[in-house]
Amino acid sequence: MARKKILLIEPGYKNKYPPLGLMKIAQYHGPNGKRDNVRFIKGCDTSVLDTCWDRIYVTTLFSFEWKRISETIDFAIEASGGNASNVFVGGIAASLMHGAFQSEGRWRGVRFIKGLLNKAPAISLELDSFQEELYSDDITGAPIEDCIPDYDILKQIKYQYAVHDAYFAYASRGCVRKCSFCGVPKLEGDLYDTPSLTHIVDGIKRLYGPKKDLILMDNNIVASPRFKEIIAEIRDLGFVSGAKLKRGRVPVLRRVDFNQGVDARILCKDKMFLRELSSICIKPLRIAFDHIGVRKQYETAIRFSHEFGLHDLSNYMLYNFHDSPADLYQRMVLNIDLNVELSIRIFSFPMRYQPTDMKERTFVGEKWNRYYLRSMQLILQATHGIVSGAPEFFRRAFGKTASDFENLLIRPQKFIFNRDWFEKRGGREEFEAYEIEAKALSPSDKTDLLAVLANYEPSKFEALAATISNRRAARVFEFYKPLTHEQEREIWELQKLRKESKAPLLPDDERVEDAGLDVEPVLTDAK
Amino acid sequence: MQSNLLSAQKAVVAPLDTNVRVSKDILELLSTAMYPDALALYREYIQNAADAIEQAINENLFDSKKTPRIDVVLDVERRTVHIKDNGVGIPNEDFVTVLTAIGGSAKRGKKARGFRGVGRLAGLGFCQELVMRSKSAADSHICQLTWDCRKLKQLLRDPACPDDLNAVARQVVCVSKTAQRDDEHFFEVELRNVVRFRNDILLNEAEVSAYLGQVAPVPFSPAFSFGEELNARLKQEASLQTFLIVINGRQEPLYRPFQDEFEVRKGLKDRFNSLEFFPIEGVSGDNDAFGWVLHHGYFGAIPDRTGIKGLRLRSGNIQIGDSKLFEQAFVESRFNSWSVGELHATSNNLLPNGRRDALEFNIHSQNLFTKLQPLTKQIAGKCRSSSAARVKHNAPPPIPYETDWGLADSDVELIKSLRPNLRMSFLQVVGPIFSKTRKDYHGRKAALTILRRVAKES
Repeated sequence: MARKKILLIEPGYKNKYPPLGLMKIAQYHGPNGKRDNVRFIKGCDTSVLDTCWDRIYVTTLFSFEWKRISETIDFAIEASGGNASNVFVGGIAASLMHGAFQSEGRWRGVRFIKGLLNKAPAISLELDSFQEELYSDDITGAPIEDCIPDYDILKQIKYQYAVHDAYFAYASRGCVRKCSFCGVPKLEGDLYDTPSLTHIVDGIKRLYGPKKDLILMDNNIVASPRFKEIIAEIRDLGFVSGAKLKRGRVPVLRRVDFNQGVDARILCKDKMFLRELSSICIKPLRIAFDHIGVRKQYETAIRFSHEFGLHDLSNYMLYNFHDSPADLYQRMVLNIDLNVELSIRIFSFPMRYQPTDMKERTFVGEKWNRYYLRSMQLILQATHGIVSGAPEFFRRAFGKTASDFENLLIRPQKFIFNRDWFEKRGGREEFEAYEIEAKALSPSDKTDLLAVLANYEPSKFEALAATISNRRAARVFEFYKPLTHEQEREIWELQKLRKESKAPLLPDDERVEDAGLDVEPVLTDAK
Repeated sequence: MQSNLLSAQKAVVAPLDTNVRVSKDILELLSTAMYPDALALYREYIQNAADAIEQAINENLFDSKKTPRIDVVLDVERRTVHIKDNGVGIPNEDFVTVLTAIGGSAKRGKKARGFRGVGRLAGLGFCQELVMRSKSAADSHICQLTWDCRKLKQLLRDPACPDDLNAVARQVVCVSKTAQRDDEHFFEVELRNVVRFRNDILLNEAEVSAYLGQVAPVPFSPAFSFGEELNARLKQEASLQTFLIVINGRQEPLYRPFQDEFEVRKGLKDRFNSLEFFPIEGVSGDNDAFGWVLHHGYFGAIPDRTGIKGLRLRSGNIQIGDSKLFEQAFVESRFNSWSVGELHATSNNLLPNGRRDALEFNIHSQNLFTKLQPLTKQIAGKCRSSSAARVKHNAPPPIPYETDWGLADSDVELIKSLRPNLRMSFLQVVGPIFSKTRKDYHGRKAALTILRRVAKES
């Protein structure tokens, strides 16, 4: 039944990794599979509306991209000519928020697939043989999940994923832990091994040529009982420490990246883990540091890494969950101290917690507030999401102490956004006046001020100012008056003259941005 | 030639002396082939439920604690539909014979809504398993009969399978019994693994509600001002009966779709201003039907989504056919879609055909179309004069392009800058492209390009 017309859609959001699920579906339908015509688009590309599609697949990623995902599903239904029963939606958001998708009346008939396509295609896709749907008789074929991703479809779109010259694979799926902030237990369940890594890598190499890097998306590789075998397999695949790939004239350094991070609580138990990891060209080694409670284990893991010569370190730091700003600061500062002591460079990536089933990115942790989160976002935006490993840069960006950090978060955001201007240049006078007034606040004044700030939005300034009865807090609040457009433009013009180029500290493919850092401000920006 | 004729004259005429062969194909003819509109299966089962409840009322099976009701439950996750009524139910001893008979309903000639005995097969083509269960008040068991539609489909297609209807039925139908001793009485249909059509129409609560609101014998909404008057007159003239139908256990039962106001198109509302009743005299002089129309501003064709468009026909308070049934009765068929009204068949002369998509064709149904002429002419007149008035006063109903079309301010200005006549024709031509429900990207782009060019030229 070849030559059917298959459309694959990834919503037009910004993301770093290509859509593996769709690539596998492309393999299933494509030239090495059912020999259908496969078209891949990113976003609502109206040029597909002139074709009669036999089936349409839509992938979904971040649940907080609900709006863009919704538009894409509406678009897919339009592309299907209103025949929603030919539309299939899967991926992470569709799995985590299955109920929310399912209950949307206008999407009736669309099949929302929960979890992995790890059964025979017709079963995973819920195809109905009674209705004789396309390929509904494929009840014994290999699962789509096990297909080699089709890299060729990526050539059909203009969008360039930050990471693309790589083998994308899993050595294991699921996780031994059940962290309440994480979607993995719901998506993949307990830890289990996947079919041979070598098979996937060889398959990609055979069909699409050799790739430079190996990205392993395992959730907790060190928990696998096959850990040592997996590392040996990676070595056998040519990713030993210092390995290079020669495709053109100049050989390039290869790298292995467990991009979901590794578990410090296991790493610290036995030096074997880091000894093994140091035998492959891992770069960077990502270790999660989710709360200050795992400080000891985390520190041990870093020391072990250093011992085995792993100096390219990077870590995820969850915030806005059960932690407080002080907790986050302590974690960041620990990295700085370790950097100095061991002369290494650990880059930290604070990741804002967001429940896995919320449609917008608006969650506020119990020890955080909207204003703090927005400030944090402004600070991170300036550094592309990375916390510098250099002590002087760090102290300037986040303060010298935890209370400094909190004072920074509470600061009027124009002072953060135009930091140089207010701390060193034309705005200095106003900033210093603010500092004096702010220092005079008693703890209870500060609580009053914070209560107002929690609802702060530049447009609401006047209205909020009228509600403050505490005189001292009211005086400080005057500094939160947003800049007028003229003032803003003036500052920007002056700043432009002295602006040094601010390239990110790390290459794109090694960075982890706090997803949605630049797209979803917590407050509407004054700018 | 001549000898042939002569021999024909000599032929002996005798009654047929073999049995009529009924093949398995009859099952296909009576299920999928009968109901090309999938939603019709709801009408068929509701019709049976209404008859069963009416019979239970006659047998005094209800009291203040137990009131008649029909429940429709759509389960998208499990892909099932349940339609259950608390009517008389089928007594245990008759259960299998009644439900396995094809045709030959005992209800024929008894004023019941269904009388051919085929409607219960309506679900056969739309699910993988069709289950019917029932119990009457005196019974000690619940009887259940299951059709394996998957297997049925296979057998119907298999040329090797014997043609005999009974042989096929024995393979696909099974019956069972479970004990339950109480005074409950009900009939329930369950469709399992319901097929997916387009927007999953059979399990789509909105679609099913909209369909049944128009077709099923449900009451007028309490918010509809003409409801009371209509109820009173129709009860008197057409013995109107309504039933409580609840979908998915919702608080509010199903109502007819009529409201005081309705939207002729986006942003243009119209109201009903008067109600007119009219009887239809039959061939023999007695009345065959009783009808009503609701008059309004006659601004234009009423959209389908309102569920009220067109002159419609009901029998036993269940709709026959669709909103287009009486199109031919109008001089210009388009005026049917400007009208709101319905006819209730009141005599046995007007009977729905087996598919219930039109009346049985006979002298009485022809008479009905003829007798409608004065009414349809009157409506057409109103439509025309309303149009003429609008043209004369040059006051076209406003098209809300400024707010509803999602245009950039600059494009709104461009439209405003057009000459009035040009603007009007532009808005009318491109209006549909910009409606919120239709996402015609190409159309929009083209329309805006044209707009810019026209604005530039003028």
